[in-house]
Amino acid sequence: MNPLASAPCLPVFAGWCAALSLSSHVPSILAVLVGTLLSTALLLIGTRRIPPGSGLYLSLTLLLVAVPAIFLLARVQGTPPVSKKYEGEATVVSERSWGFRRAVVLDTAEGRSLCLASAEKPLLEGTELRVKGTLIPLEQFLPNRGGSFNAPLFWRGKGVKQGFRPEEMTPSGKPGAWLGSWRTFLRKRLLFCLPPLLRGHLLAAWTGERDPEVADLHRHWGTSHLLAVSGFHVGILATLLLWCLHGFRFKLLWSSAILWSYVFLTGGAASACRAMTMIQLVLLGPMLAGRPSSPVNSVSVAGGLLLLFNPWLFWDIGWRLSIISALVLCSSGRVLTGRNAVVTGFAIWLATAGEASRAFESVPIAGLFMNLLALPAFSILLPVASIAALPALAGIPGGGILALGMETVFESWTALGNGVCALLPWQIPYNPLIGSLSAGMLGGAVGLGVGMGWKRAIVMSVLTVLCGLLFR
Amino acid sequence: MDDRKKGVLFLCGGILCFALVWGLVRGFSGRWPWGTPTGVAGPSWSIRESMKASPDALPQPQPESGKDVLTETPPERWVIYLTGEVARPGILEVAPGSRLYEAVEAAGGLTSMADKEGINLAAKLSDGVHAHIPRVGEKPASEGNLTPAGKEPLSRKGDLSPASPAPIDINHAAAEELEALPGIGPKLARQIVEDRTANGPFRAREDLMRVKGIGQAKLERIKEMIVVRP
Repeated sequence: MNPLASAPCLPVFAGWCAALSLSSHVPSILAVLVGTLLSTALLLIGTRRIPPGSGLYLSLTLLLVAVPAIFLLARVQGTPPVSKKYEGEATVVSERSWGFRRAVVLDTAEGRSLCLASAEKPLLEGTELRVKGTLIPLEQFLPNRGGSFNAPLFWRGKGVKQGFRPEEMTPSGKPGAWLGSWRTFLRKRLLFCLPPLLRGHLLAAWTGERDPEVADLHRHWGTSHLLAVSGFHVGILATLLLWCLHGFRFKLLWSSAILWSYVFLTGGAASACRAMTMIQLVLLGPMLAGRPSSPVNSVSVAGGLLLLFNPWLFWDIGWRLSIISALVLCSSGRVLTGRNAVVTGFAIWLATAGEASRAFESVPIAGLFMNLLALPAFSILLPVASIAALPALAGIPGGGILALGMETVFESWTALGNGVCALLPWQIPYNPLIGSLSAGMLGGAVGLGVGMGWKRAIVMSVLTVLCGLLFR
Repeated sequence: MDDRKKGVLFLCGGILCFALVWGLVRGFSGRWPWGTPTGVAGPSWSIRESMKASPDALPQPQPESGKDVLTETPPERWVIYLTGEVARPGILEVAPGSRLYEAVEAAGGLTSMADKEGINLAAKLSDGVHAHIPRVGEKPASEGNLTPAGKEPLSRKGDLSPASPAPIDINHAAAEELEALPGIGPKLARQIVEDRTANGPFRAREDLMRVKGIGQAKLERIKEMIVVRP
């Protein structure tokens, strides 16, 4: 087995990522060359023998690395839009707190634009506005103030093209966008009808928004990813749907439609889109290709498609952690065949620790143990809590009792989490060692996942560590 | 050749490709094929060597004919103090108008420990500036990586863009934006907008004092954060 046979899209995806990671360090043409060379290295290291006719596929693969990589780099390094006046319609597509203000993303005729508004201004999702102001390049609108957080890149990952400095913003009186309005309605119901811990968890699972207090708790426990809609949430829903729709006609079609609706309802986060694209490939693989889709290949295809859609996602921490976790999970499934969840959990924690500690400055050791408990627990808790909250949300008399019951369960979980953190209070700050270990874990796991064998997977692991040192 | 030997050959080929990648990235990192002073990718040169090799690469300020010869001409070289994670930290001379990457290149390039994402290599330099290239994970001792001589540091991350947000244009800013200024609340912001609508745009920053509630003291606090554009 070699990577070209088991996961042909993995080398292509790796090449694109390498080219993008070098986009600000070396000339574009060199970045593309490096991406292509790394893909070649991955293919050669993983290959023991070349079956007849593989040369054509190899050439095609390398072409698939180079040509789209040029396109991706051209987009990332393209000339930013210049400042200009804008007057017209705009729709609020998302809003969130940003320091003392609200960051509002407006969908305008000139593309998505970011506006910083007063926290008191009621600019809710779905609101239609008549606006007048100036469109400003994002780097000028939000100068990078340093630290590991790059605000312009963060917003570009959310599809924002430029900043918008308003002179006038008035509601146009038109009916709001239905998805945004529905999200706003849902958010209000959750906030008004449910007790704190339950609403915090359901806000995250249903709308993709974070309650600051619940987010703080999960950050402390090292389980923040449970609040970001990702493969975990989409996977739970997919499993439930496939079970509920068993025996129905057009089961896959219905499941896909409901799952995509869920992803968009939760704000279409990069991690959720990645997971959904992958699940879609797994669902449709047997129908389209006549054979089950390789999980590692599906992750690569999903990640690659999202990069083609929005290359700035490469710098989105949610996208990165989602891809790394999914690659390690899919790879370990092949090696461990699900026998050892503890090893898989540890592998995922270690592979993501480098990126997570770089983005959030440190990772809690308690997270290693909490995740082993939290993943199975929340795969049951979240669906049960969602069902238990429905009567309260619908305003059915007595519905609050079920909600309070679930609140007690979440309080117990909080006590457990705080207890584990009290026993293991240490944090690992970012350092090159943890970064190297993470890279090595990822490389080794993927090597095993595509069937390289242990020896070559170790070589792969060492080279990934060196790559991590080179590209950081 | 048997399969085993082929397999080893492929493995060696893969490692060779990787070594090539390593060499390319290490050799070319931070060197772009455009701009001054060298415009040439390759071994690190000092600024003097690069000037000797291609004197045309550096724009030389020439006094224009017809201009008063007593007019102060800009310095022919900018003197930069570069510290931190570069191969040869110290005092450097660069061409006027240079950017940080050119100074880094003149100092022999970044070291492997440099925080490449923590600095803006495209930042514009100026004469007498002190640029500091941080190590990965390094906390800034002062505020800035680029500090003009004798002045307060301007920003942490190595660019000369202001650490505070861009100045607010009081003739065009919405009330919400004006509220970001210290001492300006929703009411005062609304009054500013109403005043410029009623009495026309402000011609100078001092005109802001015509708004009831803004005196000399308040104006002094916000003076550096505002601009007046027609």
